[in-house]
Amino acid sequence: MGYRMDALSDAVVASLNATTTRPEITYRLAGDRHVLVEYGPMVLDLNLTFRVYSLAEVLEESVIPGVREVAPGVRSLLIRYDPLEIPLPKLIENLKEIERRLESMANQVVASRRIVLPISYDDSAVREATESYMAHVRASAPYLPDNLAFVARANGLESKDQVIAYHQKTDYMVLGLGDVYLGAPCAVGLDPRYRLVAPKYNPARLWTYEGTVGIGGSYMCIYPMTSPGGYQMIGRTLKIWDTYQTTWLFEEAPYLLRPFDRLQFKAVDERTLSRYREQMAVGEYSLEIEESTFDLGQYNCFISDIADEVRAAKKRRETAIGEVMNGY
Amino acid sequence: MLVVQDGGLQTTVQDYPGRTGYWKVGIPPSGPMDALAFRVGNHLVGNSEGAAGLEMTATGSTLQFEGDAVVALTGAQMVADLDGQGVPWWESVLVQKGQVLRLGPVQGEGFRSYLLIRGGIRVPRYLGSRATFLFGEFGGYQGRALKAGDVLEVDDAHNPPSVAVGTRPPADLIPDYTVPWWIGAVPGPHEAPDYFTDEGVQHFFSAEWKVYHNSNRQGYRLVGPELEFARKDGGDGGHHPSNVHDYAYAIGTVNLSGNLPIVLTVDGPSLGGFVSIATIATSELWKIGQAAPGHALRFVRMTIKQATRRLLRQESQLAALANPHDFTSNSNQRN
Repeated sequence: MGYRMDALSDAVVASLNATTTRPEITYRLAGDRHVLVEYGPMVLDLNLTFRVYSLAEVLEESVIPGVREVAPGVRSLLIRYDPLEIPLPKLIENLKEIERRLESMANQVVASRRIVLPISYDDSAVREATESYMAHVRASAPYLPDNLAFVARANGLESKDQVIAYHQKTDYMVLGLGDVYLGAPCAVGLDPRYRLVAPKYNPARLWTYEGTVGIGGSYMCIYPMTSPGGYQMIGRTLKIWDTYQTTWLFEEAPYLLRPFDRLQFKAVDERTLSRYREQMAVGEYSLEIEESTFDLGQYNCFISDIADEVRAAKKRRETAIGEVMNGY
Repeated sequence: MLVVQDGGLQTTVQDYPGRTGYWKVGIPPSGPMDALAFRVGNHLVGNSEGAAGLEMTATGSTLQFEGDAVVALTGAQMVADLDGQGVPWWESVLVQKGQVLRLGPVQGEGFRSYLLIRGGIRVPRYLGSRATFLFGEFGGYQGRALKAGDVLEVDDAHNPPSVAVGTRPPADLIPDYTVPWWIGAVPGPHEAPDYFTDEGVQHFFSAEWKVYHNSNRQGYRLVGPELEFARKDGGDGGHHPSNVHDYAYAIGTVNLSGNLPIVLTVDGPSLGGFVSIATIATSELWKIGQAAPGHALRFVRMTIKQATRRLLRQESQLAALANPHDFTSNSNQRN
């Protein structure tokens, strides 16, 4: 069996057509010990993400020799394998076989915790990082001096208050971890009418406070530690990474969040957030976590019910983004 | 026990293959940037693959030995002095109690040197590994680079079989370090025609790239021509044609953040939304670890088959080195 099976380019080694129960599948090479399995067209669609996690689960539980580790993305799964243990064509055959057995995602129900996170919008931690950036990196840019005001403009919203309201009107679902590093969530607003999008910093900040909540592209992220970054900062929340797992919230792992967690943000003032953060550091903060499930079938119905509003919201954002991008 | 008298520019405790298994939550493997030199060094002192050693960058450390030790220095050759005597590279060496090993700047090409010691460096494991992740401030010695006054324990509990001092690997495991670096890479995951034009991919493989000064264990930034994207924008994934929906990166992938290529290395980010035009072959990845800021490098287009064969060859050579019988015969063949 050759390496370039039904190859479309050197990087695409195989593909499967879409059927009624699955999206099209593209197998891309990422060097000689990784394969990137990509689902569907280049769109943000939870049905694709669910399939990514279904494949991940099968691979983590099965015994395909040579498969070492998997890492999910929004619409793709990176598979690390040992090519000296399983040749690529054999791996691809195995992966295709799994796809034939995987069912349609349309009615899947997954475990999904609901977590309420307090957020201090326009926090002094955000202002301080912005001021430092203006002093040391770039003095003026469309997103300066106020990221929140920029996010309002980029989304065609009237005010910072409206951004704050929108941010709390939808749950954010965690689609992946490690964006960037150490359990940081790559999360997306579940209700697309209230989704916030924003172009990232250019160039990036030299530092951002741990716990900062940012928007970049269609995604929302929480910074796990004080670090450089490029997302537009809208506020600050709790600590989501604890290296030495010093409190009960980190009993199982040094990271707080899990894939499919739904994050609900609740505005608090800065002083309250500080108190919560201090309480959390000593294990005295009672984080609201509710074990629950998420029904993709119901969600798909909800999305099709609000399709007109979603289109209108998307149009509003596209017009707005065109205007702010002129300043980039 | 080793007492650090001078930490050097950036010396860290590392092990191979590092902290694997946590890529899906954004914890990188870390480990040596030049895994080939590191692994050869461990074999030279009779250690198993997992033993921890030191990675030194550009300018090495000064270490005082509080007990007899068998060590091997591999990777980039540094100015080296053991109580006034020269120290050979790529060879197991006996160091006696009380002696001081001074490692200075790299001589010639190369950027990182490795000190492996029989038994290995003993530091607490974090998530299964002793590798230092500097950005995350964990692993290795207190999650940071070494500095004067640090004391490193040597793990003699493992008591590995003794190894003759003066043993060397076969010559083909001691690479020549020459600039420009020619680095084999496999196109993708994002290639022509979907993400780049044919010209864009050709330019990537024909250009001479320069390592930008702001390069480190997280990534190597490259300066060179602008590559031609096939798309006008990132569609649903973002505003720039380098944007896609977030996906997990492979270590050694050449990522385009805007127009700037970055080779993502062992401390790199796991998840992000930028395309990757090519991925360095595993057997070639050590070259990035030896490339210094300012060095020129070129990518050589490899097929997956070629990359896999080279990996097989390299792993076979290392396996032979780990086997004492083969090892002896290899040593005899040399010179």
